[in-house]
Amino acid sequence: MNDLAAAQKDALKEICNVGMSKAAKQLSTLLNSPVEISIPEINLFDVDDMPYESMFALDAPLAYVYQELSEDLHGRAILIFQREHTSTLTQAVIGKAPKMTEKEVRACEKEAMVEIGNVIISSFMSAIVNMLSCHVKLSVPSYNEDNIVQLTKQQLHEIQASKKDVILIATKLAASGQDISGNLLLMLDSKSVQALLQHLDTLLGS
Amino acid sequence: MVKSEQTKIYQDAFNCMTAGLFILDQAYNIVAWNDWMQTKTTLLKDTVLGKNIKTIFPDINYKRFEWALEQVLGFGAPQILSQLLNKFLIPIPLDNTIHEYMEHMQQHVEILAIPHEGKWMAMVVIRDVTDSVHQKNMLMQLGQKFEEESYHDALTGAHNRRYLWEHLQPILASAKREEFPVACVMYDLDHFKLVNDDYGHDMGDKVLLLFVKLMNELKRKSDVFIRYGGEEFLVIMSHCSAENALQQAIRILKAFKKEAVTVLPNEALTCSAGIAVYSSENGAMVAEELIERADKALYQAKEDGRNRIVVY
Repeated sequence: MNDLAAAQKDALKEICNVGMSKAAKQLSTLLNSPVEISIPEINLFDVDDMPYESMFALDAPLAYVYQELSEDLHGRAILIFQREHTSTLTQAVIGKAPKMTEKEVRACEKEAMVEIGNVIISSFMSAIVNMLSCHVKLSVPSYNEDNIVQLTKQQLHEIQASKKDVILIATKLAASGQDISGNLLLMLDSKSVQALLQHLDTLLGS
Repeated sequence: MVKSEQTKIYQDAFNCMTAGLFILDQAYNIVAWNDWMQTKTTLLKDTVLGKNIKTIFPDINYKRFEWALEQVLGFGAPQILSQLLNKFLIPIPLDNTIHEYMEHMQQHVEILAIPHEGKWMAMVVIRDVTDSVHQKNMLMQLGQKFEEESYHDALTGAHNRRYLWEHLQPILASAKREEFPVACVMYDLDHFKLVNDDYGHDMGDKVLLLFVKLMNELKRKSDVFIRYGGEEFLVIMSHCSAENALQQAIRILKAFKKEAVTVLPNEALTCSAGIAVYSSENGAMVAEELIERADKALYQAKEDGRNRIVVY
């Protein structure tokens, strides 16, 4: 496992919290219900040492939204929730619509999750861009479902780099009285991780 | 190809897209407006170009739209505004009768970042998804209708056993938690087989429909009424003691005996009932157990000569 220095971890956590509070405010407006997002933990891992089991059960079906990053940082930002939790979230969102069965909720899930994931990822990334004065281009969001191992393998495969690292940001979202635990993965090539850490050090130095 | 020719091709492509496209600068002024936007909003390019989007469309949900624009214009982060959560961005009235329950075109919106002179511009892409929303709504209505029907008996319209098994156990769980009694009353039409044999199944159906009509008139709103079998019916009565269930059963028996004459004047039709009650003193009781007790009481009423009620 690659370690983030305590100061780097604190700074990154603070930036994440700025992004997440922006996202929570926007989601509260969008969902017409109070939303809180907290960041209990942040860690940096080499991809070969990913702590899959501490994130999700290995065979648990997961729903995830991802956006590609380019320019100063290369890689992917991926927001992952357990499939059953996204149903709860979607149900909470569309609960105000006429009564829907579980299957109907499922059909709406992808559409809602893409927008919710987009709000969270772009809030988080704009906080990073803003605080670290770097330039990052994001793709439009995509949605997919898989287990944690396959998901990670697929996403890593699509990042064109020989050496990659992952910043794992544990994310807790509370909406409509429900606590939904998820993870935001920032999968970057090693060069980008070094660039990010340098930006963090510059911020800490200033 | 010279640059001017290429620009002309891009312009033509922008205009002939079958989606709404417009571009906003950092001050939210409209710098491009394609033909689709012109046709659908009936706002000509000349009247909107250079104008602020807020003055053109004062009714947009700017809380959501401005936040998304901030992300795009400030950070180049593209945004999605789904139909599910936003319905539409630009209010475009629908003028057809197919979607008469929807006032506005339903839209899936993407806001993309275009780099321009070291800053970002926002290209808003609007896809008309009204037809697919309409299809989804129709399918959902159909699904809801099938689900409704799967809980009802086709002949009488009363709820069926499927409904009973889905609802009784939760009622008993609430009763245990909140400590209230639940009465289960099982009714059976006496000598119903003879009605079918002697007068035919149409007459049998009429008698069943009469019983259901009376029950719907006399039961409490909160009572769950089920056609349990051929001529067997069940009523689940929450917050109801054995005494109150007995009083209601007496009223049902009397009403049925009186009204059945209107259907079959030459016969004295009656029915019997068995009552079982769950109370918190009984401890845990599963749904099957409660019904079994009501069934035993009903059997006793039949044994004792019919046209009567037995409490378990």
